[in-house]
Amino acid sequence: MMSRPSARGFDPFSCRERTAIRLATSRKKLSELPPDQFRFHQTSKSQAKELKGARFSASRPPQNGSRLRKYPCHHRWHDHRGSRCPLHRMEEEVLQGRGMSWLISISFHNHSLSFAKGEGSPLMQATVTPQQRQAAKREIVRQMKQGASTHEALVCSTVPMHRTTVYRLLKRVQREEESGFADGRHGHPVKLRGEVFTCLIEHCQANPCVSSSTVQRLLQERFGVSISVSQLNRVRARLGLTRKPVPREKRPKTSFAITPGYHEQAGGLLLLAAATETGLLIQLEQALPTTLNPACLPLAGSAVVRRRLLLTLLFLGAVGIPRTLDLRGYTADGLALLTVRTRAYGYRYTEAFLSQIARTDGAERFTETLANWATQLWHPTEDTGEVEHPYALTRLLWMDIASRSTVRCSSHAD
Amino acid sequence: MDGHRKPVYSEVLLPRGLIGRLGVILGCRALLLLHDEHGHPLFVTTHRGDQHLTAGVPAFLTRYEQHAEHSQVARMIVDREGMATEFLASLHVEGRSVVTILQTSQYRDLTSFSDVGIFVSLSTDTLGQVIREVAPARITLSREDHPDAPLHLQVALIRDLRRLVPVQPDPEEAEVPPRWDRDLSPDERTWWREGWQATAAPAKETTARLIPIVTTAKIEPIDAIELARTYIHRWPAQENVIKDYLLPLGLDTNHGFSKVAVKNSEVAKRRTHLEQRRARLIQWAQSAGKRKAQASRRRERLRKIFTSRSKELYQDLWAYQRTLEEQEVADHVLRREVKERKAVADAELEQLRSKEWRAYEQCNAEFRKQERYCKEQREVLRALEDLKAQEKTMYELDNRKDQVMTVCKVALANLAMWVRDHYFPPSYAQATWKRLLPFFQLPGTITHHAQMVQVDLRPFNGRALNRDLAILCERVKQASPHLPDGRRLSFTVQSSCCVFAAQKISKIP
Repeated sequence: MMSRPSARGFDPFSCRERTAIRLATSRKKLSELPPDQFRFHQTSKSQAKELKGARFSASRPPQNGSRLRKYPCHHRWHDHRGSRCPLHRMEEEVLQGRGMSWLISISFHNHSLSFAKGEGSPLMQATVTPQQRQAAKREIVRQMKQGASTHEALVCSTVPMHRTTVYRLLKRVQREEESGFADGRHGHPVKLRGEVFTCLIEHCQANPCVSSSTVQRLLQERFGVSISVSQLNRVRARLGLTRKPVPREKRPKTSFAITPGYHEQAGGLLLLAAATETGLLIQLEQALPTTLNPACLPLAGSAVVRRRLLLTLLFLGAVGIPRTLDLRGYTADGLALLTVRTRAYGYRYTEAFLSQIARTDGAERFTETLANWATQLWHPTEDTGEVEHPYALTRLLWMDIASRSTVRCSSHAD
Repeated sequence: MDGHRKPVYSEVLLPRGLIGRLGVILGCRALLLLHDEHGHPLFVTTHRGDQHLTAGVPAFLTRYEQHAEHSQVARMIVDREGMATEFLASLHVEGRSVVTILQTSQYRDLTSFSDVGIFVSLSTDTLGQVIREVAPARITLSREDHPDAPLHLQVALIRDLRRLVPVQPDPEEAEVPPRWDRDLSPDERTWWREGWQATAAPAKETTARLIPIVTTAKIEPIDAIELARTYIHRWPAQENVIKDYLLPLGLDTNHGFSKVAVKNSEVAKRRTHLEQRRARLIQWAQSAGKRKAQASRRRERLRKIFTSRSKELYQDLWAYQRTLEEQEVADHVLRREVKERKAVADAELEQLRSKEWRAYEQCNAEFRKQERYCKEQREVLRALEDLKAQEKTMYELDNRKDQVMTVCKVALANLAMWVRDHYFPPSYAQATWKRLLPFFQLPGTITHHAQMVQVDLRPFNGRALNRDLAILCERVKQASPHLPDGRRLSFTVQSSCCVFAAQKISKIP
């Protein structure tokens, strides 16, 4: 499979000129090479057009030598040893236009030299099986261990291989020994067609949220083909059938909802309701310090977390936990229900919350709150009787209908 | 108002106080609690364990009134820990009236009170017999700092007829204890004789126990029954709430044990006391030395006077005798005359001698005093050095965490009381936390609706409790209190479930 030229492109002619000069200087050396090493890749017309377009449209200056070698299309112009191949017809025209026809003659001479000897033709390389490639690798390594140079080993090898590949192979064998001969490549992705392709499209259209691993299993079970997930992802992306995220359930208006179902201490909800009705929770929440320096969890967490931790502290005694340390062994769900969670908070988090409150003047604030709340609870003043409910606004705050600033402004106005 | 101390068990020395529940002195935290007339805990603060209630109350009340707007503590009821004259006087100046109880050391019997009125019945037993009676009275307590402005208190003097206490003897009579056999006749007192038969000792004289409730209020005339009942109500309203609500909710549990080194208050107090004692001893020793010197000089002067006067008188007597002999007075007359004259002289000399002896004894006494004071000075110095050697670092606890948790517990107690008053049947008006807890622990199934959270509670095994539960559910259903998410809460009771599957099947028609 031929690599397509990059869209980034470069001007091949300056490079080409350098290559031609190098070839001319090493003509003698080239002429000594065995003819079977000259194997060229064929290029179709369409690919040639693409190549031409990419090359001629490039406006950037040519890259350095290393950049050139890494370029995917450079194989087109190299044989398996890295020597240059005959020039394309369009390039010959360009060279002629630039007055460099001598380069054409050099290049053609090299090509015709080996061709005239009847030692090979620019045919497409035959398919090399993995076993053959393995054997060739072992042969190259063996020869080099016996003292042969890289060049000699490559010349003797039946499988064309790049010099860099050989060096890489040698390093790997030195490092990993026997396992270094296996390159770990998985081969080409399977091309989806026919019935498998149709099945893929239908299944993905019917189930937009299906994962490619599921599709992989489906195709394996139904057709016995093993297609990688990445290939499936590529195909699905090309078809516009990428996996859609699973639509989540719409969240309730308040994130402070009690989990339905069976609960051990469901009767305790009466205390929670009383805490809401009497406005204790909102007053305690307002007593929490708002700014921390430096801000750190859990007090710097979300308002919901603070509420739940506050409820944890408040209802510790109600569930028979004398101190926060005892939360370590607490397994019942009574406290979780009262704190509107699925599981009660643990010792460390609760203790950290308590410590933060204590450090930030929370004891003073809580004491003030208790005095105010308890006095209003048992000895309400007359003016609060005019309102429908003394803590109507606070309830709105808990329901996320009103903001805290609104409640504060209202309380100040009162 | 009440003070409560909770012990803190620690390896280091903490400020200590008397733990009422245990009756021992331990390192502790001291809480000040304010309850209203129905026992609802309104305010609480945490202090170091050695703080006395009278020291913290004024600031406590000021702080409460500052936070609880439109609320002023005009009348305060406090137990005998708050019975301190200076404390009562200061609160009286602030315009607060205090009701408290006298300490037993502040009175002896009825004679300690003035203007004692008529005793009237305060409470009776089931048979209608009076067990307590009360009378108005007054008492005046002296103040150390202001001796010219004593504290006048009105008293509701309760006489508890069920509890009899021995009559306290007169202090003057107590100096000479009576004989143990004074009730026996002279014949029966011969206990040393053989065959003496012992009889039972006479019963000690007893009287009804006095409970003097005092107030600083200046209402005239005072209603003794109302005053007595006001103080007695403190027990169910405050002590029982602490015992039945706050302690089960963990009021005695400590939170936070971080501590900082502070001045050892106990050692400082003892050192101050010893240094004051030493200063007094030095002063006393100097004074005793001066008095001893004065007495010694006086004795010497008196001795000289006595000697000269004795010499003079006996010379006169000798001259008188010679004169009588010259006059040849009969012997018996001479002896009589000389004897009479000698008696006169001796009487005069005896006065002088006694004065001298008194001066001598005073000199000796002052000397002994001076010696004792000097000896005690050494002992005090020894005690000061020992105190310094044995002084341990005292640590004061950081009470902030504990205060936060105490506030939460007090708030929870208030919540439970509020729930009891609003949703539980009237028979639960005095219910404690222990009685309410089974209802809060009931399991149930929670179902959600758009505006309602319905809890299907599992019933009790007891029929009476289920009846109360049904009333509770009905009341909650009517009130529909709000939950934090805005939905209303509704309680229902599950139908009685079968224990075995076979029972369930048999129920199906």
